[in-house]
Amino acid sequence: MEFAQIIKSATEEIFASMIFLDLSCAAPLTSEKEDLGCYVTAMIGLSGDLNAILAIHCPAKVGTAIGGAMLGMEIEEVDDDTKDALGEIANMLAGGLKEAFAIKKLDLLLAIPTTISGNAYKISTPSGSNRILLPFEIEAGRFYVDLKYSLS
Amino acid sequence: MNHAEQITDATCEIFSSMVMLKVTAKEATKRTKPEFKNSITGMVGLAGTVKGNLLIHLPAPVATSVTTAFLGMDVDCIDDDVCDAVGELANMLAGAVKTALDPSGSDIKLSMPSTVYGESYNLDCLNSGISVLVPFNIEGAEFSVELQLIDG
Amino acid sequence: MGKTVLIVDDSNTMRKIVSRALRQAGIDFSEILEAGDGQEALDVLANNKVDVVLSDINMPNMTGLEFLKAKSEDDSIKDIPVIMISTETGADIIDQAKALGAKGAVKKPFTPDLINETLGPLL
Repeated sequence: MEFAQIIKSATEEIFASMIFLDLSCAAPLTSEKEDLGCYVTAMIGLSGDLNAILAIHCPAKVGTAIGGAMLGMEIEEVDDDTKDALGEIANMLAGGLKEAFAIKKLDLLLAIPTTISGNAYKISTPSGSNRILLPFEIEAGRFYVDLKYSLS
Repeated sequence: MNHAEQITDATCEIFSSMVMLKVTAKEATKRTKPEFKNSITGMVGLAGTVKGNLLIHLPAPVATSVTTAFLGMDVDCIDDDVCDAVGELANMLAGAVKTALDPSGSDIKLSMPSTVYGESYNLDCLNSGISVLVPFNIEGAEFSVELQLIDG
Repeated sequence: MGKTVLIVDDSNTMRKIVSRALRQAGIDFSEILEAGDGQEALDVLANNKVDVVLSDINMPNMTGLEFLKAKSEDDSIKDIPVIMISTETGADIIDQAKALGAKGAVKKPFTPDLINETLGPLL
């Protein structure tokens, strides 16, 4: 299963249909560095035929740009609207993964999104899990879609 | 059994059997503030006929003493061992709550655990659905376990 | 003449996202009403002239499917068309919604064109 391609396609579809910001995708990062310098993260757990966590990590101004584009309004700082919009994107991205899996007759179940924000948080998952970290660029800057998974 | 009781039973059982520290439940409540300072939160997603998250929130000093007891080794700051221990606690708590919610074992599945930690982070509170938080006393300090659920 | 749409979703943010998508779809809505769950939606329908409803499925108090059922039992509002908005809902839930009277469904993420194609014929 080519996860990077599935994530790239799902992200592009969401941006093209609901966000309308120009988006480009760079090669997956191989660094294990946890500190991406991001201010807001929306994440959602998945289970079933894949045990995973999907996250979208953004610096503040990228998060507000995405949230603002999605809601059709100017957003000055990361607020509840920004977090809800990013949570919704995490949910839709997970939905995209689920559809891609369904085509291969594999079943994915989604939990509910959580949003984390602040200047000084780190996120950790069990050692030994696999990771795909995809950087995307919009005019406001870079954000990351991060899939950590283990095969059930 | 209501959710507060499910959380209390699961937490008391796991702490007495695996961590070997006595904990006492306080009155169940609902989290209204998103801010955490100098803390760590372990999270596991639930998916299937209900969707939700199980979270355990510990201030850093409580996390290190719980990890010391749990792993049988001295830790004095939040490191990989503490992250793994808190993730494992979240996993076991979610497993116990899942069994209480779904005795058949077939209708709810768990996602991979994750932990968030730092000097300061915000974790959004669930806006709709059920949210129950039970604080626990542990050797003069406090931690809490939270269950968020919506109908799947 | 402008139409009135009712957006039903327990997430305030999602209601704003749908409003924005409707504006972008270029459909001439003179009024956009909102409700946070199925029961509120029934109350809005009882007190306002609504031309079309866009409704989420999973909501507290009264779900999208429960709303469809209650609406179908009220002669004064049963003919108002309803489109469901879903995320990762399976085909069976959409079938249930259509059996209860929904005219169709849009799956997130949706484009303004899809909104146009789905809603346009109902207005």
